[in-house]
Amino acid sequence: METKQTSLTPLKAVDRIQSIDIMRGIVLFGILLMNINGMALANAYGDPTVSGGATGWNLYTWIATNMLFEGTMRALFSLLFGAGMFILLNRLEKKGAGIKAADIYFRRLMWLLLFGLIHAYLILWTGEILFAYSLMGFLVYTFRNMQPKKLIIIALVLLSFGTLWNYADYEENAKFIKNVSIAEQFKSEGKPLTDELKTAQIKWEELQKERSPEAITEYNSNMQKEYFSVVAFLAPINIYYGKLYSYRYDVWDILSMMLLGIAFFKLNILSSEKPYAFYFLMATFGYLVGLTTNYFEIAYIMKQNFSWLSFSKTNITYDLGRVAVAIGHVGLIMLFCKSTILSQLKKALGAVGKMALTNYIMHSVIALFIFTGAGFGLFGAFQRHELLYIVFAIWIFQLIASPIWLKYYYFGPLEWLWRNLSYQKRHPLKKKNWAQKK
Amino acid sequence: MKKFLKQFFLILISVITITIITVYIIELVHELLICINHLYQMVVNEMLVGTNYVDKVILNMNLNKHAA
Repeated sequence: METKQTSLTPLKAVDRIQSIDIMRGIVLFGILLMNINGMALANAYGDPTVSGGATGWNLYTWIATNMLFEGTMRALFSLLFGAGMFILLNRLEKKGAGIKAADIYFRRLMWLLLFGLIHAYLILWTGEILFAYSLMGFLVYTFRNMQPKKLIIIALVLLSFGTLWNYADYEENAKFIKNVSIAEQFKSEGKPLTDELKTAQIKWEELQKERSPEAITEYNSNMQKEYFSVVAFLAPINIYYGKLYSYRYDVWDILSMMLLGIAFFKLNILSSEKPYAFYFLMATFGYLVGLTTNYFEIAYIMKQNFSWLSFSKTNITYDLGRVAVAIGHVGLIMLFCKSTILSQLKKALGAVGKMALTNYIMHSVIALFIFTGAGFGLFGAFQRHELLYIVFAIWIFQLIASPIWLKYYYFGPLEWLWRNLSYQKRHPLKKKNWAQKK
Repeated sequence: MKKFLKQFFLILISVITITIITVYIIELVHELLICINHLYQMVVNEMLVGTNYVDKVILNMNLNKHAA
């Protein structure tokens, strides 16, 4: 196989697809909007009654973020990652890189795996996604030459598997709750408990303990300790996620969206080339299905007074709601990209998107210094709605800093490092230096 | 199709292997750090109370020898 090594260079600025960068910038901000709940509050990412407040503005914040952003931002991030990896591979193969293309592709993912581990265990973000992206990225390689129609079908099959698993979990949880209530009844009547009922009762007590104010206070105090104590405290949680998530969630949740991303890219949907009417219909259909589903989920959870089982039940339609809203977001963002309005904002968002890895890690570094004992130790100190001020401040900072950085440098610092490691070659970073060399 | 499946399962096996190895390495490092931390705490505590740690270990060894 012929390999032209000389032409194997990273994508130049002029070749980049602006709409994808803008979308990546928007999605990165949406990711922070959701992640901040896990970064600053104990066990409150899903259930607002555990910590962070569940009344007034805190409740409105929970409703709004769950209606529009929960799961949808992760879906779009995965979608863009899939498209991005396909663009890289496609470009290298078109240049006749041959087997070298696969070499660069897999090396890129292996380094991402390492970045993910550092991000989770040392920068201390347990909701870290790079590790999962790396593993799912490996699988994406096989699907690169597949027709968009087939990719969409496989993505839907994967999503359906996830939904079926959620349903199976709900059935199991419903049985468990039933056993708990039988155990309580038996106990009040003085009847002996069977082994199954005893196990259910112990598990329920453990669950209640995890959600208790005492457990939250303990969690908060552990997060407020000095850096190495927090590392030790979070390591078992990270190990647990590393073991469980790859087969329980990542294949259905992440891989499906990556494949959808490649399909959308091949169909020229992500490059804003389709007519206005297409994106308008996409947004309308996506929001109609997605927001309706999300509304019923949220209304049900609130009606059930945030019961543990209500979260499990609404998980059955979770993927339907989030993927549909995500498709709605794609339509809306592409309409925004096609329009001529707010060009300065688009430019800034595009810069944020170009430096997505740096900005993503920066979120965790900022959170590390604000919330853990390595910095101010403010974990658990803010209410849910107050966290929005921090999120907005970070958005503004990155909207200003990213275009300024890219004015002087070709890549974000981490993007530069990642490229150098992937291509095993030092690329110029400073724009001035590159110009001088030329 | 045959080529696709062959490639897919080969990569799938690699992904599973990488996941398992990574998780095991992390667990190993985690356990190792816990051990080092225990040892460190033990030594620091001994130093704080002013007892010579090494002497105490030798004393314990001698006591065990006598007990045996």
